[in-house]
Amino acid sequence: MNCHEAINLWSSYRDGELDPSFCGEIQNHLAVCADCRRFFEAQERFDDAVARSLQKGQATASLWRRQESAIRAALESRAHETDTVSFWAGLLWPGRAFYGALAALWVALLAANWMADANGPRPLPTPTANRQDLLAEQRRQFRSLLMATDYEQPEPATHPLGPQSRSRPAPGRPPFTLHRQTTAVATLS
Amino acid sequence: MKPTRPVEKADLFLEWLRPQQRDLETYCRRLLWDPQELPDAIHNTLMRAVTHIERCQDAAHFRAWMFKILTHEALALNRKHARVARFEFQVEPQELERLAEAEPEAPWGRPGELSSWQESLEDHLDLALKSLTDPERAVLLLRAIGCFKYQEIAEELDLPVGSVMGYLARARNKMQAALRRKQTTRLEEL
Repeated sequence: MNCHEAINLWSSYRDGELDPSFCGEIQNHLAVCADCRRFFEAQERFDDAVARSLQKGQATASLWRRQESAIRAALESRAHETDTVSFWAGLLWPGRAFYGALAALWVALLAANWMADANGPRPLPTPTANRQDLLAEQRRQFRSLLMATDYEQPEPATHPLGPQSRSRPAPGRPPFTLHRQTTAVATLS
Repeated sequence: MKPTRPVEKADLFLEWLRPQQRDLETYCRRLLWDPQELPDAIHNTLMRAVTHIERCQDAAHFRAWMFKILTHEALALNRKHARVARFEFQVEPQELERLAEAEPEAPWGRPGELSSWQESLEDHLDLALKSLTDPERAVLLLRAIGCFKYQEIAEELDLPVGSVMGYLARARNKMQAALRRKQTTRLEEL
């Protein structure tokens, strides 16, 4: 170890934070180098003097007395706030049992869904013969009802053009016949 | 912290705090740029400690925990004065380079003159501390007043241990330079 390295490591050596192997090297160097030894002694005296001066000081009694009162007041108000919050929290928010039950229900639903998926997709219902017959009957009833409504419903008496106005076709337009209505119903069915 | 009742909590907190009051106040006074802000820094520190009182589990960690909070509070207050610190109390790099050499002319280099130099040291110590940057000052004071290990200082300041070593060495060099400059000025005045 040379002088430059020893001087650079002085601060850590002084604080006892240096690796033991480096400490040994520094001690060996100091044993043979008078300049470095003098430098180290001077630095140590300086550091001791500065540390002593920095450590001088007294606790200001009045300041700390005020702070102690503030600490007690802060802790009491904090405890009061905590009590208030925990009261309303207990009243308004459900407890652990509720959240446990909710979690169990969610897991059960998830499992049921997974099992349903594992069995494969459910087939769509196919129309049966009875269903076809029922639809045909419904169509027939609807057609007859539509025809009966068209011929039996009277004209409203309050029509501005009188009771016969709707039976007259517009110029250039064929009259509204039963044939047109049945065609529309057939198209629908 | 085990007690649940506020009175017990406060009693235990104050029981742990009382032995640290002197060191905390001395450290804070030296670390702050403006000593007038000392009550604010102490008050903010204690209120923050009370708010997070559950984080401190035992007396062994209390001291380091309080120093950590106090350091952050004081450095936050110091940020207002950062511009002044940068321009008015800068140590020239040439002075630091000269310190790397042996210095027989330095007053602390001669044991016989140490006592007289120590008297004048008190007058210039605060100004010399202002020549340091905030991290350098914090590291130097945590070591000198708090007597913390490098590892503890690193944890308190959220720095690597290598940075702590660097800051401390630089702080000591800057202090020497600043104090020597003040000593020279004083001798010239006499």
